[in-house]
Amino acid sequence: MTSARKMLRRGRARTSAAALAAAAGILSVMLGIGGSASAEPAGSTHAAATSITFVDTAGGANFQQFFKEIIPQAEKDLGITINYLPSSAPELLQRLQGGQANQDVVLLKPDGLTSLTNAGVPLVYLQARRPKIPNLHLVADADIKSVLGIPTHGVAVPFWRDQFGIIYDKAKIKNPPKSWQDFYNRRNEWAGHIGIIRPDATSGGGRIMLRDFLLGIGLDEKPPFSQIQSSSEWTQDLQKLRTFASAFYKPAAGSATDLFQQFAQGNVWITEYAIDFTLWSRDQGLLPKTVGATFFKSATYGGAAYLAVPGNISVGQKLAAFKFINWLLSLKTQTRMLTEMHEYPGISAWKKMPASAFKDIPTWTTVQAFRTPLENNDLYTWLTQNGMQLLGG
Amino acid sequence: MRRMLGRTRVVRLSTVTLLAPALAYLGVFFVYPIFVTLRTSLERTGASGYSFDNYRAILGSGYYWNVIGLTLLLAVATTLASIVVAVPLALVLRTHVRGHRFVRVLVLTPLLILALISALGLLIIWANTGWANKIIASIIGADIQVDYTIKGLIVFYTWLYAPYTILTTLSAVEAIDPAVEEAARVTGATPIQVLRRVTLPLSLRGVRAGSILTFLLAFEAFSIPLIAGGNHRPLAVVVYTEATVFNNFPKGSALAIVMAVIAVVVLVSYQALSTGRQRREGRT
Amino acid sequence: MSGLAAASRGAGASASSESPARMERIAHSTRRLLVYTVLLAFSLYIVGPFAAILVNAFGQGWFGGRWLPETWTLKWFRFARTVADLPTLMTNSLTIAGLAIAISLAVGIPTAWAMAKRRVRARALLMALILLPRMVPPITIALGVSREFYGFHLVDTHLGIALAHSILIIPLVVLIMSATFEGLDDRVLEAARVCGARWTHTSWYVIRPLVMPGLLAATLFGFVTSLNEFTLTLLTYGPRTVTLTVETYVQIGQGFTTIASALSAILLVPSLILLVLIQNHIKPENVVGGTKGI
Repeated sequence: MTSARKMLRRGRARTSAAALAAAAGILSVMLGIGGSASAEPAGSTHAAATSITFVDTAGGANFQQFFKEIIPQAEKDLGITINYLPSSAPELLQRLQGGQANQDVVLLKPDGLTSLTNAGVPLVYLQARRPKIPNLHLVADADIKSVLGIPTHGVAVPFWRDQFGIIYDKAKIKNPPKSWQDFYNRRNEWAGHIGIIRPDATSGGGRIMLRDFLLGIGLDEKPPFSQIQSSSEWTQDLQKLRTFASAFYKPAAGSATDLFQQFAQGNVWITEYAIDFTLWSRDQGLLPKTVGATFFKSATYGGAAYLAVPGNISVGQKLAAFKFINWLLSLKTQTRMLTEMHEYPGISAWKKMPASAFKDIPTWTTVQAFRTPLENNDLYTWLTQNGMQLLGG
Repeated sequence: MRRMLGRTRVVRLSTVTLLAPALAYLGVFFVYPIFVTLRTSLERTGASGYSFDNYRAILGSGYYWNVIGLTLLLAVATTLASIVVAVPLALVLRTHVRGHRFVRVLVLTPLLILALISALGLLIIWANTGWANKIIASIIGADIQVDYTIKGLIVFYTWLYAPYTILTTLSAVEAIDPAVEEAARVTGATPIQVLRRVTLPLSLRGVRAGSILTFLLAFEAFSIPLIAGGNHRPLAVVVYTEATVFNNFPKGSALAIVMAVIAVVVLVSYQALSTGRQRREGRT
Repeated sequence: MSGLAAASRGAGASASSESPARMERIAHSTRRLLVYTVLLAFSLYIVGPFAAILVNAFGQGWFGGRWLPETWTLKWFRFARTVADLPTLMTNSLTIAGLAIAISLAVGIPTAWAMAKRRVRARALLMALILLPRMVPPITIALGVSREFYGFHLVDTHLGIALAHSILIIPLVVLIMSATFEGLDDRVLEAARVCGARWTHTSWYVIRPLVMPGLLAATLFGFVTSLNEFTLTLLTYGPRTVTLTVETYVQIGQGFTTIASALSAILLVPSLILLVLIQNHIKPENVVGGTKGI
């Protein structure tokens, strides 16, 4: 090899090395500038932090507006900064599994809570923190015991309790059904105009409707799911469900927004969905003014949104989180939610609630009679994964 | 290598050095996450240990092959539709007809709007009682069902992704020296022959670059089919559903790997074919 | 287009009784009419959804297949202002997009040059590998990226999200700029060298104007990609870095199309301005082609 070539090679190698070194240098500087994500408060372990992040995976636009209005008040009352972050349960789960510790208070739907507990994400046992969260005494014990039939041992406390009902367009339907059986028998009156959200959508409305129908025609969801599946009633009930589903408007809505759009277009006349969200949407002019609600005497989903505190945050953050949860469970906040949002509070202090709040929605005594929370997680999961097949899709 | 040319010193960076930044970046921020995905895809749902179960379930199931077929159908159809729109449009715009400046800007506007929002707008326009059908009904007397159908998805995809093809085709067409076409005409070629033998081949590079982009975007499309696909759910939506709604990350990951492999195969074949053809027709 | 040419030729050829000039004029008018109709249909096709979004953003009660909403209102914009802190959202989105483009150009341009000007073994395969990030749905690398970023303390930082977006933009830059560089005639560069120009001088005065259209196109596409990106952003953002897309996705997924429409309507204004400004500078003939006439 000639010396010229050797020089060439060395020169090239030197240049390459220099370039790579420069790249590495730039990269490390950039990462240094990136800085640390959430600044951990440097205070002592017994002082509450001064800033928390509140992640909301349960609220629609209605509640996002509500939170934006009440959070400044909370910040003033508690003297801390509260960062409000709307998100969704799958994303939250991925962050927590990835080890991120900048979520202090989370608001979860029931299936969000069970997916966190099933994945083994540690949550603080709020029951044991009663001294720090005095307002817990306003919450009925039964509401902290279990969710979807899975005992949660008090890691979460309900913030609100939502109620589903039958929504229909009064201009198109003069005589709505009185029960699920009635709905099934008279389905051809509204064939092609019964709306439903896809059971495999992020929103749970569709699979809840399927479960409620099954309960309404006689299915008992208390036994373990394997037992239910092997019974003869199961096959018959599924057949009835398929027949019922043949009267649905197709294609099934991809989301609640889509479903409401179908109402607006006049294609869908009747469905089952959350009453608070529907009434609020009607008031905002996003649904025809002729939309109203009715309730069957049984087998109608009633759920809740749960507040929880991830276990992987510092003690200072936890103390601040407890203060915020206590504020959210206060009589003042809960009453405001009932009157402004048509949403049942998580606490049970009915004698202290104004009677005027129950103009558009039934009283709690009435609702409790037919309200059926999700009790069988396996059934619910099965409906999630197989619901579309039942709908013929 | 240093070359002295007069007072000029040219330091020539080696090819490896030039390729290094992108490869290193993608190595850190893409290859590593892909390995995480690969490892997840080999996990068993609800059991420990690794296996190819997920892949077996996907490749052995008619349902997933249908999904793959649908995704490819949509991507290819959109790419073809985009080319069919782009070439005549580019040729027309080149002649600077009245309003051509407006159309040039218009072509880029679908890029400015979030895909989620354009899905919403498209759904509204093409609904059975939407504006488009109102116009169509007054012409042919009946509605056309567009929303939630496959042809509807192609219409929507084209709206969103054709601009990439149109832009590059337009650039290539405008780069053609009119003198070449003039030379062909002068020597007796008819307008059609000029088009086929001179103009179109010269614009091929532009069509190729843009249509690759259009194909890729249509293949991985997510927002539009999620909202407007109805029962037609291409790969990206199914991956999302498996991972986040069914919480089955192993299966979702396996599906994503399958998706990537298919795309690479299609792309490499397309590149090889079109480069081969270009070499045969003589590089311009 | 060939049909039109044939029509004009056919019309001209069969003109035995009519004057050829008159037939030519009729064919010419027919051709113009056809062209204008096609352009009009195309314009409506593109403009339609924008109009729908605007009407949706300003209207209330758009039901039952009416042509227009029942009433007009500004309340969605007011709602957008209270629920979504718009100035912060826009600042976040624009900052992240700017950072992402800077990173992507810095990393992607050298590679694009190599792919265009140097002999690279297995070029097709390498190009396919570089484009791979655009073929895999973001959700699959999102988890790995999120874990990596948490380790590097990049979560909830503008730089972090920009780095995540760059994963998707670098392939675009390489794809577009390699096509642009391919069209850059070597003879022009050689001519500059022969004339004794320094490398920096050549870059600024010779290379830059020729590649500017491609650069602008890559910038525009990269900007759009970053603004639209939400899967990776959803896993790497935090309270300090909420972007417009994340907010819109949350609104439309759990909430209201009208509010999302209002947010988009607001975004359209600066985007259109940017587009018109850039349009004057992208000389279309040079994005993918080289120089004319050499």
